[in-house]
Amino acid sequence: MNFLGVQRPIDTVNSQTIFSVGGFPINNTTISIALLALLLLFFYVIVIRKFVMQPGKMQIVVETIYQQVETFLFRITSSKKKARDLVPVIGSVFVFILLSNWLAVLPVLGSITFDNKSLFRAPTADYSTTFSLALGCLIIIHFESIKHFGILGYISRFFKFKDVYIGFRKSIGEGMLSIIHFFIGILDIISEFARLVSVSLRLFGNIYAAGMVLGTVMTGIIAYFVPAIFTGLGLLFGAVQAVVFSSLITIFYMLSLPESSPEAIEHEGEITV
Amino acid sequence: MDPESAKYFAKAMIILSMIATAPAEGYVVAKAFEAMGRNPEISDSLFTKVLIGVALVESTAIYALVAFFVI
Repeated sequence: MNFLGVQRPIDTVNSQTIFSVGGFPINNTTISIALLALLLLFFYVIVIRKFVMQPGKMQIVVETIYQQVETFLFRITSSKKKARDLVPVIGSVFVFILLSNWLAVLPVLGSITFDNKSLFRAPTADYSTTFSLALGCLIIIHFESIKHFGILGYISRFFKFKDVYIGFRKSIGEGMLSIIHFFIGILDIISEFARLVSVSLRLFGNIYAAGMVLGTVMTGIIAYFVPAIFTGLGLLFGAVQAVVFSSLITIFYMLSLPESSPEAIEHEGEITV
Repeated sequence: MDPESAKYFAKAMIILSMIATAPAEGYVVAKAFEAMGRNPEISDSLFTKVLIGVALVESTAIYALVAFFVI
């Protein structure tokens, strides 16, 4: 049975340091992030410089990505202005995650080794990358929230002293209810951190476990034809996880703004363009 | 019990946490198909939502899988 399989060591959870520049370690994830970012930058610069009225193939690709992301954001936020504001952030995060997820599926890249370590590693298959992506997005969200509510309004979203005061002015029963709301508000602080961890861990787990390890385990059992199915599934999972990450970030953004509640967003999401 | 075998027991217990994921995913997909059958014209917009929902439901199993390989 063993002659059907190709034994390959399972990738470590941590990324490995290839070399260091002035005490700053350069990991294999860092190399592939830089490669991906440079490739994307060159692609966009070259294509966007040659924008014309009659679009060529490459221009259509770029315009389609923009259009799709904008339509998708409009479906969630149901406001043209917010969708247009969010496109630069969410669009770039989406494209980066999508390409790096597909990098994890690419079979050639893991085989390029240097000093017995894989030289390229898909950026999203490293927890540092997904955590910092989620952290950056949540920092932007909180800044936007402070901009809309003001500093005092932002703090009072978590510490609802005012609600308790108003509740007790009305009646004792209302006051007791408002104390419960006060503690729920404090719990919201924990849930902000839970969001950060859950969003980043979901992306990392899917790409690391479902992509790389499943590939390794499958090639260990049967190395011919069957892994192709899992590669196809990996492409699908990569796309789905990119959509899930960006839509979750958008939903968190909507939740942190005034006059928006989960029910309202869910209801507004039904409107089709 | 020596540490190595304790590790394998821990891995077995982590795998147990994946039990509920399959029924939950089945439930989501079944409900989605029910809705599609009742209302075929929304099936296009429903499909992406179902994919996102399944990915969210799956996350428990994914956390478990991560823990499985980290241990």
